[in-house]
Amino acid sequence: MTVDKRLIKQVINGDTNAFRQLVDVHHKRVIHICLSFVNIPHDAEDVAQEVFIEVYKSIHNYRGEASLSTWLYRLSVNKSLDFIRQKKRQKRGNGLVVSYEKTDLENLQVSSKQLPSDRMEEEERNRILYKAIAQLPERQRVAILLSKIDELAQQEVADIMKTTVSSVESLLVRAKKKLKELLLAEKEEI
Amino acid sequence: MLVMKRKEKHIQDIDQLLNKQLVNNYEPSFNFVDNVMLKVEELNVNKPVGKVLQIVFRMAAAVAVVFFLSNVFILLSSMGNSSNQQTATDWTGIYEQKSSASWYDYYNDDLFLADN
Repeated sequence: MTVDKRLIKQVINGDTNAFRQLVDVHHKRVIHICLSFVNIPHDAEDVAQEVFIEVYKSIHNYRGEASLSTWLYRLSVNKSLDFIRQKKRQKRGNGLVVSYEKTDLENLQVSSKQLPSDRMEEEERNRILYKAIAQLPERQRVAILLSKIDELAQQEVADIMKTTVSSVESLLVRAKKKLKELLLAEKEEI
Repeated sequence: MLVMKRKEKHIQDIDQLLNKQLVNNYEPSFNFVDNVMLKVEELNVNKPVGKVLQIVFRMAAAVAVVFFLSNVFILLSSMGNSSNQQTATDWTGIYEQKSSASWYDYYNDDLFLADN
């Protein structure tokens, strides 16, 4: 029996310490996934917290068909996408333009060893990149953002997206092609 | 030519740009796990009341459904009975009027042979 499965069994039997161990093991990756979608650390942690609460509430229904990590990461993607949609609706309601704002990106913790000018340049690059990624179709966006997470293998990305590795590869090719077009168009505008 | 080269360079940079994304360097808040566990404890405290309420609501809903269905059944069956009775009376009446035979004739002694 894997560690995860043993911990799940303990959680089902009411052991909250086992759940703490689960959170401890997986929280970093979950936050990284959420952050790659929502771009704001504070929001990413809120979404990640919701993910773990949801897991705790529905752990009795976990049948072990997919590994716990796949279930967790799929939930993270879905919650992040819900969060983005909700935010878009709110912004639309307030009459604001939907885009990644610079202040959002400034919240990303960039390595402190950079010079201010380097940092500004990098922020600007990130802003353009995020804007382009936001314009991709949803599945392409999910594939490209998940493939960017260091710890995730392509098979895991495929499992999270409930598809095959070859589909993920083709999604990535299309996403990168589209990104190139979008970034070139952006650059020409500048 | 220079513009083309710049574009190509830019295209090559995309993978690099994606790889440079700083998401993987992000360190979560030190109290993240504690915050999650606090929420879990809150859930556990509110859980029993929630469960009892849920059971009460479910039972109330079940009783309401049973009450509604039994009323509907009573209503439909009473409507059905009255219309059936009426039709039956109509048909027997017409039959009795049009038929030359009498139902009571079947119990005559003349039919003794037919019966046996």
